[in-house]
Amino acid sequence: MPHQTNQYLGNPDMKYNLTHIARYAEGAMGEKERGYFENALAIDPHLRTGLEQYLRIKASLRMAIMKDPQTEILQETISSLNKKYFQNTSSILSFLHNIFRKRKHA
Amino acid sequence: MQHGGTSADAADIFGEVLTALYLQSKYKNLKLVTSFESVFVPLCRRRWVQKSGIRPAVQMEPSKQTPEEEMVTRIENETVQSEILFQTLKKMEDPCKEIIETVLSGGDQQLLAVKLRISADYLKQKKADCLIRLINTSGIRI
Repeated sequence: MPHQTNQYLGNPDMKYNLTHIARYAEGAMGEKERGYFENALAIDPHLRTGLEQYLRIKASLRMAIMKDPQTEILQETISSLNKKYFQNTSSILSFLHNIFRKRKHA
Repeated sequence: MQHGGTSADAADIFGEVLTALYLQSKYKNLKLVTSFESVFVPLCRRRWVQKSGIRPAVQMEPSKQTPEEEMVTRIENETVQSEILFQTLKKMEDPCKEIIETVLSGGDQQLLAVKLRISADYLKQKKADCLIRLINTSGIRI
């Protein structure tokens, strides 16, 4: 598995990598370093893409970690609906038939 | 049953895809640019194909996908990514595991710093280090 901490991201003159992106995103940079990094962000699209990807990964992880009451209510509702609608074989076949019928037409 | 699987599998897929769409809209600002059905049905189909081991249809290059297909692919990839990251996090040890869980679930970071006996500034550095370690261990590339 490649170790990405020192993977180069962006302009070769800037030498910014995942460590810098994470430190910036987490507010761990000092004022001066942050200023340099933001200047680099303004001119380097690859670095901006790296930061966007980092933030998306964080959002993906947050999505998995968060167990808010609404998610639990949704899952309980789905579970009760499943008991109602998925015990009947004909309704399951109808559900799957619809899915695969649409696939053929896709 | 057609294409294999059981009614429980079908129910699981139905629930998983609905939950994935809900979480995407809540935490990743998903906005459907098309009908709900045009995203929900392909996601169920792909999940079904994935679970049942049916040979998937030839995948089109991203540039040849319609906006609906791009959205379905993105949701599918991010749902998988989310699961990989969560499984990797579960295997991590404290303090990294605790730091990531607390920070990303909106917990009190000042309390966490006090508990870990570190400064708030050092907690930010630890947070970055732990997230980098998690990303690297998960194999997800940036």
